[in-house]
Amino acid sequence: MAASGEGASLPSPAGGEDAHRRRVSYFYEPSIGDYYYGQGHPMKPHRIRMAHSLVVHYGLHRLLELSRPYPASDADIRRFHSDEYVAFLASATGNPGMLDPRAVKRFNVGEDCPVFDGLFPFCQASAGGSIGAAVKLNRGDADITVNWAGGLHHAKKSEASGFCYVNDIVLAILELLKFHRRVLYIDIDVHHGDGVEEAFFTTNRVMTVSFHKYGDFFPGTGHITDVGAAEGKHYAVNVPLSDGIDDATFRDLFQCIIKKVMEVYQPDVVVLQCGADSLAGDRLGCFNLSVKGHADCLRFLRSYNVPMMVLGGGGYTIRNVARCWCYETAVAVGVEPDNKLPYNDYYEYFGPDYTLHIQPKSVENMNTTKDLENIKNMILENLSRIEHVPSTQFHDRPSDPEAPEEKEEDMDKRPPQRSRLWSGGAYDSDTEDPDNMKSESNDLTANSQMKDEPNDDL
Amino acid sequence: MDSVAAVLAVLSKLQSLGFCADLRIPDAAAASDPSEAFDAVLAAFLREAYLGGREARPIPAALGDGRCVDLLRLFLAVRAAGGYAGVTSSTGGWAAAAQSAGVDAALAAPVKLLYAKYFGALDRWIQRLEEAHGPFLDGDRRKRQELFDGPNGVNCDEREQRHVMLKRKRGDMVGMLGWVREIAENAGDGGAVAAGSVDEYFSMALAVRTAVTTKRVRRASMLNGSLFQEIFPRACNCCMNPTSVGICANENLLNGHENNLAGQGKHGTMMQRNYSDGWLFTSQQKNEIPVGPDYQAQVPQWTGEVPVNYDDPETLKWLGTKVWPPVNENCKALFCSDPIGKGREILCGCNHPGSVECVRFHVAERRLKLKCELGLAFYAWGFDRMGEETALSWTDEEEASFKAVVQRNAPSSGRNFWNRLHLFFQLKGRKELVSYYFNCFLLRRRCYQNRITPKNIDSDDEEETEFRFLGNRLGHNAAKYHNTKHTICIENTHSMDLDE
Repeated sequence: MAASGEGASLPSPAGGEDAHRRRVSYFYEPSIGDYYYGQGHPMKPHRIRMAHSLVVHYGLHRLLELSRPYPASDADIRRFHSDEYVAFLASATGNPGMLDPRAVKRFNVGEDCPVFDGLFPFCQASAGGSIGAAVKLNRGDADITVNWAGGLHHAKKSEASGFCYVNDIVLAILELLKFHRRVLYIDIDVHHGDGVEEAFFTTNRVMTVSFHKYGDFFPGTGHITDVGAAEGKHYAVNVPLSDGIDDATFRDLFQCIIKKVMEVYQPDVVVLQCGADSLAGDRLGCFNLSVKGHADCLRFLRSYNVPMMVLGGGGYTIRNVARCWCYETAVAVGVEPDNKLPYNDYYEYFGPDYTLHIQPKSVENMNTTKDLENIKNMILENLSRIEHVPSTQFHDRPSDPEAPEEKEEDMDKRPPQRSRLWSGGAYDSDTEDPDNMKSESNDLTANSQMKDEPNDDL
Repeated sequence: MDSVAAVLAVLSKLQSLGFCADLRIPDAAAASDPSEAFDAVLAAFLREAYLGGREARPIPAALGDGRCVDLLRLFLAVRAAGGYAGVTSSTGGWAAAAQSAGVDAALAAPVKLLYAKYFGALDRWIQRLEEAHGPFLDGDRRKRQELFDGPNGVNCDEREQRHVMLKRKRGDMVGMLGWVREIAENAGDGGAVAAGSVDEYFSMALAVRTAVTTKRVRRASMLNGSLFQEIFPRACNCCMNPTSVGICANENLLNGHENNLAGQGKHGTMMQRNYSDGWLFTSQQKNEIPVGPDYQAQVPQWTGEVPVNYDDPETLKWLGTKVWPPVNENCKALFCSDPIGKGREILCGCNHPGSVECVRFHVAERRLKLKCELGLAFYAWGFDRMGEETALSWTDEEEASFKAVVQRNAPSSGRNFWNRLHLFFQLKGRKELVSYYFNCFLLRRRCYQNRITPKNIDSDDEEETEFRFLGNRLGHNAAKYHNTKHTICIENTHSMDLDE
């Protein structure tokens, strides 16, 4: 694609086919921005509304199918979460005096996970969007589905954690598993994706790969030697990192590991959690990625032509979260937007530079080449153990008395590279080749133009 | 010295070390008979320090001839005279101590032995604590409170408390591990084992074994890094109760007094090392992932069969409400839109490009354009409720009040401005207030920051105390500026400073 010459983009391992159009479906709940965790709480659902505003002002909606999610009912949420926990969430009110202190303790609500006004509808919207995204992929209605209100990866079966109450990712993956034999979950939030890892720790039908800060950092899990248990052994991958990781380092590591993962696991569908707290200057994070560096993960995965669900997650410097998720929406539809933000309702949030991209900070990258090499080698070695599993485990389907729908036959047997999904066409577009849709004025490269402009993060 | 305070101080100290967690001695009870209270504390401590009761001492303590010794008075006397070593080194020291304890001075030798047996362990523990934090067994309650509350008197900073705990316990862990290693190396050598019993390493090793083999719920706070905490048994204000100082800290760490050293093992797992120390490839220090039906999702085996009735309403409901593309395709063709991905024009015809008025004008222009292009979707996505237009339903007075309430109740003041806002604007719902806050209030604060303090911008930290805006709500009289040279005078003449 057009950006490939900029050095920030990734080569397409699938070769050539990347230029094809993806049918992208996007879920947005218009009331999401009005939920509020409480004074001083860093999690602000308003960021999702800001991202949506940018998406629409860039005109990206014209390449999207947009839906308002159906709110997940408590029965739907119980597909993963325990009955008592869901009942508590559904009945919780914003009045702390009304809460049973034992339940508060048991379900870990309070400080990090306050019971705020509208908590349950918020969870319903988040989960409903992700399950909807899964159904879209299951039906073959879309190639990429997006739900920025999802990605709440810390929530446990019977417990809230790390600003997350309902694990929309687990619910979405459970839905995907109805049609897909193997689901790959990738997590680039600065925090370990512990809730999802735990939920699928003992199965090989879901592989979880998390890149995160490890060491004196929430949630404390995600050690490199945590590889899964029982049947799921070697199907949990943890990439522990130190402060200040930059675009180049992250990209090398990400590409190398994901390439191997795709090779040995051959997922039928990929779920990518795009937590934006791994960006430079995040209020809670400590990585040093640019928006481009962050989005390169999505770009790289997109090039594999495997159906993909893209979810939100963390992100606590909200102007950068909106930047990042807007740009990633553009990457999903294959557009390279102008760096100069269009005027929009939240324009002032993006000052004083009013640009889409951010520059990394001048902080030290604490990840030494040697450490990264060790991490990489250890993970690749673990992954190679999967290779030794007889291939029949993956490719031999049990005899099927009732022939499945033909569509599903296709999905299961097709090699990832020859996806039927990019036939495009069915989806009308404004231009012939969306990858050349970069507007004329957008001649910026990753480095040139931005240097001349003030940047809010400098 | 106030003996009541001394008893309570010893108790609180022992509790901060993880002993006597369940013991409660109300002030009143301690005051009525401090000696009895002290005996109770000591008995509980000795029981726990010498697990199994092998070396339990009878209390009240009696000499060979059956005469009882007032342990509290003995303890305080020895303490005042410089401790066991101090008394021993001074001539007639133990005779004086015996007298203080109500015993004949001739019985110095048996009293010395009794002291060693009853207080040896206690002294060693207290010494370690004091090495870490300085002496505080002077009955000075204020000072003791400080240790747990922090120097600023902040009420119950759990982090600080845990920190205090960790510092000390790691040292003991190292000692205990050294002892275990020694035993392993010199198997059969009774001497090493005996030395360990004296230093309580034996009981600690047992407790640690329990801790590392027991799975327990761990919780970390997103905001406080990875410091783990057990589920709080009660509100933290328990720390304010002088008889239970330290209990809160203990119960964060401990499951119960039986394995009251268990917390050490758990926190040992938290000791973070640098990569160069090789933590990366050691497994004993990581947090285990719990396995079982209470934790994992139920994943069915892959059968190759996919749902046949995937078109049922139960499934289709998930597709939600389609908002875009609009059903009526004509409306799309009517408007010639900008190319996809296009940003703003660099040049504009405004008198003062980049000024608040200029930006407001272009935002309004975009908005109108968008309204035409989107049609119903404009409303479905809530664009009519985005940005400064939200303020149109607010009167000038209401807006001024909002600012004033937020300013007066800034988080730094320790108050919650939302509670005040709800009180002040009883007719406006929560949603309306939150919407105004994000769509107008923060936006205007950022507008000010972008122009006046561009090197110091922040949309996310509500602790921020800078609440200034430029101009009034419609942008009239807002700062007009071309470059930063003018910002100084603008700040002086046009900004509405809430500090005033």
